[in-house]
Amino acid sequence: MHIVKRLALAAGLVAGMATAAFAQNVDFYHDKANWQPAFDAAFAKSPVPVKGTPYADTSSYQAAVRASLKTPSAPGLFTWWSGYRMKDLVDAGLVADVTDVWKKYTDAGLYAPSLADGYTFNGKIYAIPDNIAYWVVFYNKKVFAANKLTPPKTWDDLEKINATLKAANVTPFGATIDGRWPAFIWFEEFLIRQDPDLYNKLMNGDAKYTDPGVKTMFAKWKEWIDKGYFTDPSTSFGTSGGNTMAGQFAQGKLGMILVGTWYISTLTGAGMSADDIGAFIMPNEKADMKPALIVESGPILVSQNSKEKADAMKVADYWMSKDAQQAWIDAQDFPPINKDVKAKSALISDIAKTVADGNYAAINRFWEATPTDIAEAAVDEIGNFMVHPDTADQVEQNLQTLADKVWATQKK
Amino acid sequence: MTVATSSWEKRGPVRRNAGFTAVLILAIFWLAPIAILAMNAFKTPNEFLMTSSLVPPTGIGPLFANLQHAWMKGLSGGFLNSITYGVAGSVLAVGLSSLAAYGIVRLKIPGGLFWFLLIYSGTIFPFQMYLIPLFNAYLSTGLYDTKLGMIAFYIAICIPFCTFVMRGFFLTVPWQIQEAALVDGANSWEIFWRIMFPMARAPIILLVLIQFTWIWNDLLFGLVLSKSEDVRPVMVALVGMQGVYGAQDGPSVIAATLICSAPTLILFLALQRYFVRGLTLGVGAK
Amino acid sequence: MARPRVAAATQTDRIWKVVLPYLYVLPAAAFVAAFLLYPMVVTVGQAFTHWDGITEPVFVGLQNFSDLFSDAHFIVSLKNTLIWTVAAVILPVSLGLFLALALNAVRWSSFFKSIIYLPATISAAAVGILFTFVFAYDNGALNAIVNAVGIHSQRWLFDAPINTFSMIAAYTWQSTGLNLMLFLVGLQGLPTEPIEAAKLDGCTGFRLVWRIIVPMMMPFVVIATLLAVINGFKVFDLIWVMTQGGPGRSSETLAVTMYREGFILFNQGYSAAIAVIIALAALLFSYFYLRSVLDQEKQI
Repeated sequence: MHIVKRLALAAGLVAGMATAAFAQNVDFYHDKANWQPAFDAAFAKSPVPVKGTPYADTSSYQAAVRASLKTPSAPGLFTWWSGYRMKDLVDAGLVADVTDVWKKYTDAGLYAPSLADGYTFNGKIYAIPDNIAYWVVFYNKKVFAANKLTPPKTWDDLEKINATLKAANVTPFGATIDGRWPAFIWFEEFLIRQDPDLYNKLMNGDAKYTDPGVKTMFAKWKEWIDKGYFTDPSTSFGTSGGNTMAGQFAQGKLGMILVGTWYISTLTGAGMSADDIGAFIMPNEKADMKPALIVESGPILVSQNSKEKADAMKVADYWMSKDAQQAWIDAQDFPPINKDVKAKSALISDIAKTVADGNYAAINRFWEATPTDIAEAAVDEIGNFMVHPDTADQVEQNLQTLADKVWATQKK
Repeated sequence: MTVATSSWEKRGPVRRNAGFTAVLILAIFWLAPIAILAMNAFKTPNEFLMTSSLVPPTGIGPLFANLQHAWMKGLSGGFLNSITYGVAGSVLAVGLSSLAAYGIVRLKIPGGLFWFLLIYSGTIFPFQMYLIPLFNAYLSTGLYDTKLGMIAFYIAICIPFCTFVMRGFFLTVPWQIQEAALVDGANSWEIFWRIMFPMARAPIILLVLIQFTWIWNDLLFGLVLSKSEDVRPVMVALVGMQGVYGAQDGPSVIAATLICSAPTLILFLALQRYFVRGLTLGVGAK
Repeated sequence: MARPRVAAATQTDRIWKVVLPYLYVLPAAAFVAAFLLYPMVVTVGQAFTHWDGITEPVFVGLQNFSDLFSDAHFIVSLKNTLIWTVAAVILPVSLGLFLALALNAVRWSSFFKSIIYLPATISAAAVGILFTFVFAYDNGALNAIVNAVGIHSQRWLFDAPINTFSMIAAYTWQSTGLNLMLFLVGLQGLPTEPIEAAKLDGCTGFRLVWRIIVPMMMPFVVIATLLAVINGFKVFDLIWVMTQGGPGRSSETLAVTMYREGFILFNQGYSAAIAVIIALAALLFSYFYLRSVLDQEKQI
């Protein structure tokens, strides 16, 4: 009896330890507190349980992650930013190579290979996509209907819409520097609608902020500001407490907002009905230009040094599968990236279809497409322009000066 | 009560009432920002979106929904954490500081001024100086994102000011009391525990009040030294509700701000009579 | 004469007597040394390096400091810090003094005292959120009031240097209370004989306050001023929540720039250099503050 009891106890202990070994969590860090329930839904069927830690503030999040990546206690998975923003992590060897995870899905034709462009360095892919957002124009359907307007097909149509709205005492477009970063929204949009090649060259340091193309762009922007087509740049946008822009949009005082598709939940969360929101992609300045739009692609990275790395890779693979992606899209209403997954709302589904059918070229956001040091400092300069539109020349020179400084130290 | 009063009283009722009215108007304006904001906590999100922030709400019902929403969105954990940190941090800091001040002032430790300056120097420098090294040290010692780590830091940051005030108080205690106790055969600990500490009730309560408030209101160190919801203090949870990834609707954020501000406010109102007394004794005014 | 047993006892007694006071002081000193002084020393060391947080730090001597003084943003930040140091000291301190003198003379003074002090109990972050709503361009309380009297809406938080002053207003709202309390303590402790004597000489009312009482309050004014200066250097939460130092970095102060360089741009060495500069300034004022307090104590 004694021995049996002891053996049972021992067996129980061993079993307990074994299950404990398997009941490992994978830590998943992110700075998007409001998305935690959606993450929970997406990871519900994950082969390894995922424990999400939402950080309250983006800058302390970045500092904490950067510091922990060198150690084995680094999180298995974490959200980050694409392009230049992840380059220094990749260069320091802190991020795991996930090319094989992608291969499985691109071979099956479920993912467009170009989606990985912002995560590819030296031919290897270092992140899986958390979400993509198309930067489109949301418009208030009631306002448009009241003014007998329809979504524009050409730039001239757009100018007419602006003029009509302005005459009807509705501010056509929202623009803000609330939170500092939104300053680049219109900068990149104007530039790609005018000359996407110039934009790409500028992002990589092959063109200057003082080039004539950029000057023309600023002049056009100034023209719109002078005509009163934009809200005051101090209008709050949701990045810091208030959201006056959503309020004006809901009340019909503001006609259109140019923003990423993730902003829909901000608008509905603030109390607006989804039925009143429509969307269109901004037309190019010239009709013969190829269709393009700004795409923001947020990645999830796997830590190279984390002790959870093996499990994290499994979760990464699961994340890209239909189960996870469908749950994710259903919770968030983002544009789907797995071809087997359906969009949640008609609005997003329409946009996704337009983008796919029209073969739109995806252009990465300013924020990630150019080195961080330039992006961070540039938004302050561009913000200055938005507050004082007649300082365009000085702003261009300041931008070039800081770009020169940064490119000089970058290895290209 | 004091000298100025008598000169005013001579001025006559009209002058006095004018002064009173002026102060009353000032008080109303002083409270206006809080009042306006609190008013908006009674609106539904849609109402808040649609109307000006100066327009009064249409009902009082939505307040409870807003408070509940704010509480559920992660404020609850932070609230309880901060109560722990506030109580543990302030009580322990005041305790350790009293001991230190006692040693410096009453036991006349050699190089007393040096020790005092050493301790006090902790409060001279801008707190941001401590951020990055503390963050790295916490990461490597495993204190990062632990309740123990948070309490330890809060104790440390409260000690300098508490020592300053307790020292000021102990300077005012007459030496005869201590000498009499020594004659009676008391040792240093007994003198501290039975005589000095009880005498210091007012400054001690003042300090616990002030330090609890400071710890409760801390944002920066909570942000940097913690991450998970069971460790983060309340202000970090509040800030996490903002931003594009946060709670979105104005009234919830306002309700959350009100919830977060209530404890220290109530604490102050409850303990105010100790405030001036404690300040008087602690600053060493005659 | 001493028997060995007693001699041994008195020796340990003596050692104990010397060590004991240190035991009282050591815990507090240890906490401060470990959690505050050690990081400060590390920061000073970092000020002489270039470090981005993930690669190894590189020693660069005084280069960070020379870079600072040729950085236009740093100069703006320095200017703003100066504005804060002056305005955020003068306003709360003088308002506190004025209110202390006024409140001492009216009824219900403790009720008003509590109201003025109330904002000091809520966090700087909450104050920032509050005043962001007040100062908002569209739908902000202040602009609504200003419009009602016929003045154009202002961009309180977006035009420099108004944005700095708007934030100083919020800061004043919060910090006047403490100064008020301090001065009330001082007022209550003033000796009555000189004041009675002055009144007998016919000095009353405003002149009494201005010529007699205020000069007697000078030691407290000095202490409050120096304390306010030191606290002014540390202001961070308020600015960060309201403008994040913007727009265009126009409202940054040294503390904000330090955070920005450290946590957003990851130039840790540069950030540490700014910290050292703030520390030196704070040290200077703290020296005068402490000397003033210690001198005062000698007079008791």
